[in-house]
Amino acid sequence: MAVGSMIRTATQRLKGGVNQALGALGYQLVRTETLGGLSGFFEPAPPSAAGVESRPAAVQPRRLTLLPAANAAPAMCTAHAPKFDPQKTPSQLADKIVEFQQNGVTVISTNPEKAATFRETESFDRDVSNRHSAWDWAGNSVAPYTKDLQTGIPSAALLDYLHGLFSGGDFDSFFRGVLGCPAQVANVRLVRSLPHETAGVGPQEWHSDGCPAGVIRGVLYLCDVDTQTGPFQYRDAGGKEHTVLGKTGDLLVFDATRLMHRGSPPSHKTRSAIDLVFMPRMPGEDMKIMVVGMNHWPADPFFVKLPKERAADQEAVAGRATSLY
Amino acid sequence: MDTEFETVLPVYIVGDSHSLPYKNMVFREKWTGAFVMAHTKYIPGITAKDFYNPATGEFHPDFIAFLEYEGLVRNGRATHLSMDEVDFSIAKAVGQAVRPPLIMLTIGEIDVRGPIMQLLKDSHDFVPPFPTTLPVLDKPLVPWDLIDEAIEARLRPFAAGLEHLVRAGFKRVYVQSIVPPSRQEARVKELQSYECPVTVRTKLVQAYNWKLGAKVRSLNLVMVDRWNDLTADGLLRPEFDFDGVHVPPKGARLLLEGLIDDAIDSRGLVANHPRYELYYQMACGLNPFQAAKSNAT
Ligand SMILES: [Fe+2]
Repeated sequence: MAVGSMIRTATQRLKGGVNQALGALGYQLVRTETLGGLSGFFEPAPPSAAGVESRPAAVQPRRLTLLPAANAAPAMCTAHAPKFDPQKTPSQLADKIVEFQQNGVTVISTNPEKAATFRETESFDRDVSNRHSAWDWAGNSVAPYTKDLQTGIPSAALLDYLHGLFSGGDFDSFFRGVLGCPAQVANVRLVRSLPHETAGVGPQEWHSDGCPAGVIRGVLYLCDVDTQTGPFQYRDAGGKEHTVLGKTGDLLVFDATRLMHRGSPPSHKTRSAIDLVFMPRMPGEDMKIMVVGMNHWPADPFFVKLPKERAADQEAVAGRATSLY
Repeated sequence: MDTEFETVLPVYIVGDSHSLPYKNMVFREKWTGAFVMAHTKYIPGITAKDFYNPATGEFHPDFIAFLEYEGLVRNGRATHLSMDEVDFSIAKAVGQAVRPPLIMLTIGEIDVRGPIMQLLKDSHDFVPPFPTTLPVLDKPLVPWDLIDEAIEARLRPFAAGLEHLVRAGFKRVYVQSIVPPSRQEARVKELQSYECPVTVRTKLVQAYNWKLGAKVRSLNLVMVDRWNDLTADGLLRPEFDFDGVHVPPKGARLLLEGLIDDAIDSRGLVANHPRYELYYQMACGLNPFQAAKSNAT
C-alpha cells in the first residue's frame, strides 16, 4: 500500500516536471482521458443573471431531436399573489381583494360624475380595425371583425384621470393584493357596443382571453348597465352563470382567463365603457398607462415598445377576411 | 440626440434550392412598415422524405444546425420558450422582445421532380381528384391512387417532422407551396434527363400542394401559396420563368408577402407565456431561477 502510494507520488512528480518543462517552451501535454475528465469536470457553471459568458461545453454530437415546449396561458393569471389577509394588510379595498381572490371578479365603484363626463367628451369615432398592428404585440386582426362595436383613442384628460386613479393608495394596495405585485396599464381602449339583435361576435361571445400570467382585465362602465345594455356575464367555477349589472363609474376587474365570460350583446341600449388591460409592474418602476388601440398585451413583458399608429391601408384591409385570430 | 432604435422582422427560410431566391431579401411590409429580412439556409438536396426521421425523431442535421446557428434552438430546446437562466441572460443581452420566430420551409420540389414524376414522364397523364383547368392529354392514365400513394410516401415523414416542430414550440412555421414548374421543356429535359409535358408537371405540383396544404392545415400551420399570382391560364407566367427550376426573387418576394399577410393576423401566437411567468414572478419579488435550481436538486 505504502509502496504503491510512493510510486504514484513519484509518477505525479515526473509528470509535473515534464509538464513544467513543456509549459516553459509554450507546449502542453494532456492525455486523452485526462482531457475527457477535465472537460467533464468543468461543466459550465450556471452563469449569473448579469452575464452570459460561460466555459464552452464539452464537444458533444449534435442533438437532432427537439424537446417538447408549451406556450400556453396559465389556468389563472394571479397565481403568485399570496392569500390576502385583511388583518395583516389593511386596505380600503380589502373586501374587493378577498372577493377577487375567491371569485376571480370584483366590482369597485369609482367617481360616477367623472365617468358620465367622459361618456360625453370621449370620441368613439372608429371601427375596430387594428391601426396599431405591431409584431411585438398580441392583438386583433387588421380588418374590423364586427360593425357592432366602435372604439376610439382616449383623450389626455382621461389618461390623466386614470393615471391618478390607479396610482392612488387604494388601487395600489388593491393590485398588490390581487396580483402580488404592483400593476401598470398595458392598454386603455374606448368601447361602445351598439344594440343589435344578432348573436354577439368577438368579446360578445363566451370566451376566455388566454391572458398571460399576471395579466388581468378591467371594464369601467361609463353608463348604467341593466339587462338591456348588454351586461358583463361570467361563469363561476361550478359553471353557474352570473350577470353583473352596474352603475356609471363601476369598475369590474376580473381574471379573463380563469373565468369564461362575455360582454353580452346589448339588446336595446348602447353601452359605453373603457376596456383596460392590467399587467404586472416591477417594484420601483413608475405606473405607466399605454394606449395601443386594438392590441391586447406585449409579446414579451421584458421589452415593451409602443406600437405606432398607421393610417389603415384601406385597399389592403378591404381584401382581408374579417376574423379574429 | 436619441436615435430611434429599429430592428428588422426576421423570417427564417430554410430548405432546398428554393430558399435561394430569398437570399439577402429585405423589404418594408405594408401592415406596420417594418423591415422584413430573410435569413436563409440552403440545404443541398434536402427532400420531404429526409427532412425528418419518424423512427428516431431526428431532424436533418443541417436543419438543426441552422436553428442553432440562428439562436432558435439550444440543447434541443426552443430558446424563445425557455425559462432557463442562460437563455434569459442571452435575451437580456440581445435587448429585444423574444417572440415565437417565423420560419418557412422550402422542401418538397425535389420529391415531385424525382420519384413522383418518374411515374408519368412523357408516357402517362393522370386525373386529379380536384378541379383543374389543365387538360388531360391523349396518353394512358395512371390511376390517382398510385400518384396519391407516391406523394403520401414523401409527405408522411415531412408532416411528422412538422408535428414535432409544433410540439417543440414552433407554431409559426410556414411551408412554401411548390412553385409552378417551368414551361421551358428543353431546359427541363436537360435538367431531368427525361421529358414530361408542362401540363402534366404542373398538375402534379398542384396535386402535391393539394395534399401538402391539407396536412399543413391539420397541424394549424399555413402553406404559403400564391399560385394565382404566379400563373396565367394554369401555367407559370413567363415573367416568373427563371432558370427552369426556381422562381426569380420577385416571385419569392410575392410568396414572402403571402407569409407576412397571414402572420400579421395570427398575433394571438405572439404572446410569450414563459417570459410572462418569469416577469410576473420577478415583479412579485420571487426568484424564478432559484426555484428552478432547488426543484432540480
Ligand atoms: Fe374577454
